Amino acid sequence: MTNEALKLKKKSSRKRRENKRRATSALLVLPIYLFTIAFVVGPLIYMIILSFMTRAEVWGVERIFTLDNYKNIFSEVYFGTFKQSLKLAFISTLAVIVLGYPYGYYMARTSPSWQRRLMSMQMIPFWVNSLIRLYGWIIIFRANGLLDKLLMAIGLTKEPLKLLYTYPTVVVGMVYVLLPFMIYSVYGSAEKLDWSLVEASRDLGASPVKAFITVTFPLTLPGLLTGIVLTFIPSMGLFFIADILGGNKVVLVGNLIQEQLMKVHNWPFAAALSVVLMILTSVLIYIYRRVARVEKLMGDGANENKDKDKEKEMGRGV
Amino acid sequence: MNVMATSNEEKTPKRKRSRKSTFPTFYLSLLTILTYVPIAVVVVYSFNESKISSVWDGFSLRWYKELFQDPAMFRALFISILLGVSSCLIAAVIATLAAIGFPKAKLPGSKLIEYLSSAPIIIPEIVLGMVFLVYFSLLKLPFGMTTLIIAHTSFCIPYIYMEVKARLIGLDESYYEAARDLGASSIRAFFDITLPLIMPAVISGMFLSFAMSFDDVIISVFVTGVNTDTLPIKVYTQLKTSTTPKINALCTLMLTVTVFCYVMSYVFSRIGKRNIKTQKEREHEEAIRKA
Amino acid sequence: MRRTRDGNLEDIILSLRNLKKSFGDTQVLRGINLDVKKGEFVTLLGPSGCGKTTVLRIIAGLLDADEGQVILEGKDVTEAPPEKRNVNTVFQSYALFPHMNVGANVGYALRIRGEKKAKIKEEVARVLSLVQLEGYERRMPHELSGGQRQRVAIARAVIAEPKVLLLDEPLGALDLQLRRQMQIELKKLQRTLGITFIYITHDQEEALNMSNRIAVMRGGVFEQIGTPAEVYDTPRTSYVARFVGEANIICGKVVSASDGFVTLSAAGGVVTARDGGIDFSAGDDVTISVRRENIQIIDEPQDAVLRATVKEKSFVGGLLRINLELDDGVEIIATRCGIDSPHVPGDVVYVKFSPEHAVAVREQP
Repeated sequence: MTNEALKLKKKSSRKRRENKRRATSALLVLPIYLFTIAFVVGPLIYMIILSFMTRAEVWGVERIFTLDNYKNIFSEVYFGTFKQSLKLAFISTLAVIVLGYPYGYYMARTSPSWQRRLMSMQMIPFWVNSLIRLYGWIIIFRANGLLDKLLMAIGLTKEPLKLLYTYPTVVVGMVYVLLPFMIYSVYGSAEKLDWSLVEASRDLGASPVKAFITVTFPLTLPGLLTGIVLTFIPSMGLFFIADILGGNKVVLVGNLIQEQLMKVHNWPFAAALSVVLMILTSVLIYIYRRVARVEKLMGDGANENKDKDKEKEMGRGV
Repeated sequence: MNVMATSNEEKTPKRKRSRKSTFPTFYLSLLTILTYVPIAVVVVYSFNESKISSVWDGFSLRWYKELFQDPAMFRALFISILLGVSSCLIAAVIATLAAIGFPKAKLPGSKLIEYLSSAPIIIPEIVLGMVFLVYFSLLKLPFGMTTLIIAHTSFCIPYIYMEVKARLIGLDESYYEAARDLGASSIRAFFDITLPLIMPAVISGMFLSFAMSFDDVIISVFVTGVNTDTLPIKVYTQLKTSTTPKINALCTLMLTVTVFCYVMSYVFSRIGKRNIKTQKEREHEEAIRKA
Repeated sequence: MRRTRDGNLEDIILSLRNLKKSFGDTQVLRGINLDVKKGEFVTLLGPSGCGKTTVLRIIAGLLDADEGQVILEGKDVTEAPPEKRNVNTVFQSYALFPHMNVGANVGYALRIRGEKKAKIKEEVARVLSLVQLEGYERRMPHELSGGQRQRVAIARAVIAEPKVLLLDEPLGALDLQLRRQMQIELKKLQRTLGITFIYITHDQEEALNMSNRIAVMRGGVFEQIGTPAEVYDTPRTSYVARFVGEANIICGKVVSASDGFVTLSAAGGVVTARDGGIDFSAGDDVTISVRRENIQIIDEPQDAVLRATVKEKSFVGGLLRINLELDDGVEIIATRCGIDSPHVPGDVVYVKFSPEHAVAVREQP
């Protein structure tokens, strides 16, 4: 065989081997491709399509294109639900900031071994099913529950406070579930803080308060912002806290979706609500990504893997 | 602010804290304790003799006994376990193959599929539940174990995938190459070398997904059939109606299982970490050697 | 069996023909040619990043060359996967399987080939005693020291009696003392086993000590392939001269050339050197290489000397080192034994070397 022909034969057999390798690897990813397309992409696309369809008279769905579902969302009644959800998310986030920021900050100031202990101690309750944790709050808050017993025993109140099924109780429940996100974010930022900067400012004559405002706070701001976004995202979806602790008094988007789906059987509308909720969530996630990028620029890239691990664990604890 | 005052201030944060160290410690302790209070309440009252949660009647295992004598509970337990095990096994196979295959197969859209496969843990649970409900109806799938397994597998996959992927990235490919060099075919080298070395990550991911599945309530509520109640669903329905401390007992047992799974997941993610050096660490060592 | 360049029907066990390899836009190998004889200890010598490991991986089958052939015992194995070649590698990081003990690691190649357990056990013990690690079968890799791991890696690679053993800078991670010791041990081992070794290093001392032949690599090609003596005494290029042993490079113009020697004018003087096999005509540019230890320093001018000024004296690596500057500004270095010399910086001296100790080199291969 001539040199040229030999070269070509080599090239083609090499190509064949490469293609064979590619094909085997393709086989490996086939299951996930199939599964994701069938059971993730498919449902999502269907949901979007569904949101444009009309609800049939008795049961089911009619394939009539309509924008009514979306229009209805912006109507008084339903839009109010969105506003409620946002209001609750906002209040919860505020409470979480007030409670969580100091925790994260103080935690970063303890010794490294305590930091690890506190981190684990915060993680463990997080692992426990949120239903169970909420049940605990029910026991505490219900009429003649633990809290009542305690207050009456001290003598602060004479009658049982009807705390369960009220708005503040729902907020407590939300804060309780969302707090770890804020603590983790603030701690992450505060831990990377260079304390010598604070010392320097104190050295230059700043009071503790001033040092905090001018040095500590701005440098932990990325952590705070991350925490805010991380708190907001799940809070939009936590309808069952309102469900359990708030009874029927507090209606959030999630409750609405559930109701529309299960009771009213207006699937297209439920779909539309879900789409809007998802869009909101996506926007928040996008903001989070931007904030996180800023924080990485300011912080230490070596902690990235640690962050990802924790992020993952926290991702579905709610 | 005069200079005298500054020079009197403590210079190091440690000493500064000794004056005010009580508040941070107090605050940290308070909040940490508060985090455990609801859980403690549930657990403690599961041992309460009295039916009414707020009255302590003495220590008793009565509710646990009742629990174990309730066939409906056992059925729910069986379903939860079967569901959890099936989902995490199927997810383990799919996710592990994917983690190995993605870097090698340069297929179009692999980044996209990778992203989308983790969607189930990012999308709010009600939306996911709702989406599965309408989709399964469209496909006319029987609501029950089938739909539950599909739904649970979808959110188990990302957990296992991420763990295995991370482990693979840190895995020195020289091990696999050495096996090939010594005479092993690619399949043999995979089973002898790669698989054992990533197995801890697979197991860790499986424990994590089992815990997720065992705990899941919202999605399960949406896609379950008439007679298929998982344990969390039972707790949920009971919470909305009336509660007896039997539920406390159930909750205590459930949380024991999940905490156990999380601990095991953590343990397995640590096993064999010392064998896996990242490229950074190796480069670091190289640099030291050459210096 | 093929004919080598000098016409001998040697036992060529491995041939590399015109290997070329690019990674993206960078061409790492530009045409690698090498014939390795059976039982030889060949070292690929070159700085980090010159492509030595790439050559090794292509021989092992872990990497495909873009062009060229790998011929093992007369058979073209270029397309063969690594497991089908009878070539084993000792990796730079040793790559001992962390989840298997030493015995399982070492016996792996035999296990693959389906040998019986008893036979494997026997062979493992034999090979471990060869590397002086008797009784280590049950230990785990992470329990071993660097030197021990390296010996396990070698044992693992030789147990199946490969035709060629590839070693990728195996001594790089060891400290100086241990490295020197291991060099001797490796050389002994190679002679005992009779396996052809292809060894990679960037340490020229190591190469000079251990090899039958050295292939000096640069820019994706071998600039010179020869015995340690050839490479040291008769470097083909200035690069080889500088890389192997520390040479002084002096440039000048040819005055005359005959009988294997060339006389040149350089730095204000006239000197003679071996012509290194190059044809020179009067007036040509010429570069010569003189080893540092061959530079003599005298006080009075003689016939074939170059004038120089002493710049610095130091004691480095067990030798006295004198830095000098020639009249044309070129710096050269002379080394000798002893602690001191009578010359001080600023002295004007004369530098002389015998023609046998200098050789003309090419700038390009």
